[in-house]
Amino acid sequence: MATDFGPVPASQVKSESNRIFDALEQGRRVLISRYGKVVAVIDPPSVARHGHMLAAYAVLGLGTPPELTATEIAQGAPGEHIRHAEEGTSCLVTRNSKVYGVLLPHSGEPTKSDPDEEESVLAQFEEAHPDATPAEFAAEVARLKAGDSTEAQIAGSVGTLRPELSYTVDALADTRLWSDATLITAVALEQIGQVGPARLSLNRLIEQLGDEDDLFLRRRVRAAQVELARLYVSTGDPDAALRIAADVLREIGPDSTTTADSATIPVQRSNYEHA
Amino acid sequence: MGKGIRTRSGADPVGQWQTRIENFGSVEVSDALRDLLSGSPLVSREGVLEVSSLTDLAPNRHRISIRVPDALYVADLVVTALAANAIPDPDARPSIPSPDSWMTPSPTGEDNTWELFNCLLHTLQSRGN
Repeated sequence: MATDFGPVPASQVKSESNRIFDALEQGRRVLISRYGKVVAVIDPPSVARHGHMLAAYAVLGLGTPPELTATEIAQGAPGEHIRHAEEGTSCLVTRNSKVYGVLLPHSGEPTKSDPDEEESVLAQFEEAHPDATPAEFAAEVARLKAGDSTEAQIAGSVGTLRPELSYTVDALADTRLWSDATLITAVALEQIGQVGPARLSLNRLIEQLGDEDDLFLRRRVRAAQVELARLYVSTGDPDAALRIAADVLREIGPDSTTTADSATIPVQRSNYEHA
Repeated sequence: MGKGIRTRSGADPVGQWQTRIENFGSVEVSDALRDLLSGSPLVSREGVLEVSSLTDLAPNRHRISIRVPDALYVADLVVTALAANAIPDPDARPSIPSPDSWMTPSPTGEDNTWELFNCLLHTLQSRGN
């Protein structure tokens, strides 16, 4: 995952609003603090985590979720939304009618890695690269956090992109947003009974992004495959569903080497159970 | 002046991370780190030099960030508050509950003065601002 942006004090959200939207566009989580403590976060939009809110925003008639717009932030009025988030009421963060993030309460960070092990790796890096620049050191930290070289290049933000990386940061961020928007469209179409167009949206995403190496996009493709399989089950075509599900399981199953994706397996399996 | 600031290796944190402290591309961030790691009080001012803590789900562990809005990099320090009996020469003040024990708010509530004591420093990291 990309590195966090901030923490930005709640009183500074207005003056830093452009940088906050830039960070969200790059897939970075934004931390919001008050009196020296992180009290809320703005997550980049994700179908897996915020699907219902995103679908409700995209489709009229599903109930409008609370919204904090760029205009409200520019007018210096985000404080009330942040306080509501602290109390547990999430809201969408939007600009020009596009969803850039979801404002949520922060109640504690799950431990993802051992900081002592991270320190050991960083000490070795410093020993091997005594002349490392600030950008190189930050990129090493990002690589350590992300476990993915592409993410590390983005999260470093100041360093240059590797020659083999075909996307610029902006183009990759756009493609990621496109993949989210397409998934949202498919979910929304299904909810209003447009199953055929929903399938077309999912197939388009799978075809266009099926060969991508970017971990985020690969996950989106798998999410689209699972959603498509679920649609086939719900419309009485289990053979097609099994074929697609087998493709997913082949890539992320126990024999796969993509261990970073293992956390997505239970979520996807629960979809089958619901179906 | 806070006492009882430990690293896993037992080394003085300013000495252990001397190279890293100077590798943030910002004099303000480096100076703030030296103050915080040596137990000196550090004043956090919103929009100028911002010190914030992110609570970890591990007991008494936090990520303390030092951020200058215009700087290229943010410093992240992962720290665990320790009980006095876990430290050879502890500070007289208890650090738990943390991070509140390390923070003294100004009368206006806008600024905080941070002072570390009775704690274990795990790692000092950098990330793009």
